[in-house]
Amino acid sequence: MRTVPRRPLAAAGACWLLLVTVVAVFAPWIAPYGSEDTDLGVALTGPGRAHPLGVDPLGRDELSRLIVGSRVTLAGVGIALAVFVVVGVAAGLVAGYLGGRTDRVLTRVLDLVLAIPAVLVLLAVLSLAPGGGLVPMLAFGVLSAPVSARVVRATSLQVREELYIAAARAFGLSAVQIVLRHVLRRVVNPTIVQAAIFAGTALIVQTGLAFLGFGPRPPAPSWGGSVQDASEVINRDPWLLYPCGLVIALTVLAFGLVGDGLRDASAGRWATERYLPSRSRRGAAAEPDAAAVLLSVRDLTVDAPVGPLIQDVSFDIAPGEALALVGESGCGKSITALATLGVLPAGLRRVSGTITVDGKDVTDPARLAAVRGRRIGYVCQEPMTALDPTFTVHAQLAEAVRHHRGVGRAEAGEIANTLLAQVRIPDPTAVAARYPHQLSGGLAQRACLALALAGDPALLIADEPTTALDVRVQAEILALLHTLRRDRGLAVLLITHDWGVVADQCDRAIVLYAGQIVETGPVEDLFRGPRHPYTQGLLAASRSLADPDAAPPRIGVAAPPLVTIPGVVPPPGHWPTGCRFADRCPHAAPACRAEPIELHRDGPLASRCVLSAPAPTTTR
Amino acid sequence: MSAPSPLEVEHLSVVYEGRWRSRLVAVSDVSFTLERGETLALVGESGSGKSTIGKAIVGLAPVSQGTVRVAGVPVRPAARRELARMVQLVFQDPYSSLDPTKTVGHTIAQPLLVHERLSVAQWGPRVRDLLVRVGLPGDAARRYPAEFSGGQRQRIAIARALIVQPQVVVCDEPVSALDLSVQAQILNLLSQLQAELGLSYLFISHDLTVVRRLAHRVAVLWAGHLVELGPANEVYRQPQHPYTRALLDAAPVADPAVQRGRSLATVLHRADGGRPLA
Repeated sequence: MRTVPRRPLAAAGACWLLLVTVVAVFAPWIAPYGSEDTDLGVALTGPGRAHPLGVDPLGRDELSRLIVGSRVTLAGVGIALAVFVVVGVAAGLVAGYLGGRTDRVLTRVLDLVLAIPAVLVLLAVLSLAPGGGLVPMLAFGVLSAPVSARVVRATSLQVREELYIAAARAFGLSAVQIVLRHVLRRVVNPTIVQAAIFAGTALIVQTGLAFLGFGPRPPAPSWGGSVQDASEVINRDPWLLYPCGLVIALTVLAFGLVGDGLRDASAGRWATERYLPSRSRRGAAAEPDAAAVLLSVRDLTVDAPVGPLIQDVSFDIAPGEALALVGESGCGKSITALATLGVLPAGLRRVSGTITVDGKDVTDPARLAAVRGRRIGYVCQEPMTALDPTFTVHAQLAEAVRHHRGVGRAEAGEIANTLLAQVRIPDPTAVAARYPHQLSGGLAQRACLALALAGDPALLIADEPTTALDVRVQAEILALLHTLRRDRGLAVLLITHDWGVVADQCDRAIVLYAGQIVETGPVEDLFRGPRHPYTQGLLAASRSLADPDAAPPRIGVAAPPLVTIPGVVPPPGHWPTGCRFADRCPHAAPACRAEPIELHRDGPLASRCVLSAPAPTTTR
Repeated sequence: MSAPSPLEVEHLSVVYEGRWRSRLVAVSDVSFTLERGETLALVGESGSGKSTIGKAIVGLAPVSQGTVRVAGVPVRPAARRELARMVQLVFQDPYSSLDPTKTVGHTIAQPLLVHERLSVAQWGPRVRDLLVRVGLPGDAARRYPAEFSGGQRQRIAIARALIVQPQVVVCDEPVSALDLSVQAQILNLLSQLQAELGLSYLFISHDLTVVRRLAHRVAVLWAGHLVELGPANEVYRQPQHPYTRALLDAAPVADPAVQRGRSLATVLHRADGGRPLA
């Protein structure tokens, strides 16, 4: 965990634990006096030069007793911890990875162990193994192991579904090999966190048992025993409670702090990075449309800790218009949509830009929240993640209608039924009563569309609404979008990487590359003569893939290569100063890399390229 | 006697027995063979059983009836190690298919480490050669999957499948999670590797367009049944089964003039009371 030192509290906790451990290991050499040496002459004399932490009622040096006592205390914690981790991880891995019957039986057993009151078992163990020692702590570890087993089981269940596990099985690896090589590593982080928290509990139990007299036999020292000794003379000398109490409290606290630090470190530091504002430049407007503009976005810039994700993105959508947002992954399509909706993920910030809906500035988060759902609906790529699995389709749809339209329960129910019919769900009454997991992908996406329409929006933002669907279902959803646009005058901002979908639905398109608009214009013109080499590359790749006139492949002969754009989109934080596409561009010249390129208009299209001359392209 | 064909599937059925005596017939009586150096595209929608066939071939799904033979060796659980050398798998999701905690080199070399107990010095050069072959820098072996893009991860997954020098590679939607331009890069790589190494591909896809440049033959699946199997150019030009026709028509064409007309026709058709499919 390299990141722990960046957290001062966790680092302090770790230092304290290290100190205590070192002291425990070298206790006999460090302790200034023998832990059991008595000198009744100085009993209860309080802290002083000879005895910095005072002297107990039997005249023994308190510091020496705490130093030597740390050994048995830490040993108890260590044993409990080892049992907790080993038993818990083993049980969790077996239950989680094997699943099925094994899992069911093991989970029942673990539940049963958790249900047994630990104190009763500990007392029974103590009656069998009198004199304390480490046996009770071992029992405590076993009794607590189900806590870690549950966490490990949950993680293994999840890891088991990963494809690399299937790949390992296809390689013929045995279950043991797979668990050791692939699954174990993934449960390390949650287990470490659990263990740190458990260690604190184990320390309290260990000292508690010693306090009750179930620790090492007197006169052998232990922290709990010191508390016990001090508590007997609390009226005569309250001081004695402080050293042992403080040591116990600090150690418990240290375990907690280290556990916290480890948890934060394993959660990733994305959200806690300091955020660095960037200078905002004014970019050219995309398409200054007619007076009647439904949504207008100006100079939208979103920053992440690594750098800006989109810069100065501006566009307008007129009522009833369909605008496409095109580009490869990592170009900022979804971020543009989420920033427009005001629902950026944690760690991302809109640093500049204005959003206007119906001519009113709604950039302010509160105002944006008011139009979200009512004027602007949203449909995402994964319909299942947008639906709440605990409610029926009808229940969540009616709830959304009530929330957005402020109507009564009965009326909302009726509107919900109408919406389900409008998204052309066959047998809407039957589907309405189902839960999301009972729906096919196409039905779920229709339900999401109905949900997006609950507030009767004028604009629908659809983020790859058909990418996860089969081609025939995609055609159905696209046809449905056409119908909704025709019947309701709905405007659509459609995010896609499929030029077929653009051709099907959209009036205009924006091409994004590395967080910038590189080309924009009417779809017909864009298809006929794209100006920017990136748009040209995307279209050429699309056409080459779907070319119906290409020669069929022959066995033993490599097919003529498909047209591609070499290289990858530069990641945020690594964008060049000049043209961001220059490294992948076949026409790149020194002028491209000199300075930022402005978006400039050339006929119906606006593009961000120094070579404004249209390149030869073919359309069929 | 000539060598057995790389892959023979005869009357394959895959049936999942659930609790409470429920049965799910995922694949029903499917037969086909694969020649050396050939690509057979297995096309169908979700639930058609295409991925289940792929899984049955590599031993990850039960063969309930019929036989699957890889280079003459029948697929059964006991022969999984032997089969692993002859048939490998490339998955759809390049993120979930690589262990994030292992370096790329370890991921690719895993079968060598486990089966042959080779040392780093022994597998290092083989892994580097393979990485270069799939278009990645040789030093990629020392880095972790998180440092690579989706397309690069898919190249790593292809390298992992090829390390055991298999005859057959089952590609389960290997490009559908990738951007279009990257899809073309991966398809080019697969085609080039096939010509160089004489690999046979079973290429599973839900989209007929994607397999156009690669497939020598196309098999269309519907609800676990094989409804059409033929040379690719015939299936594309003259589909025999109405379902194949529907699949071909459903893919939107990247040309506004053509596509507008098609989709408008769909809308009008639906407005007449046509029942949606989903």
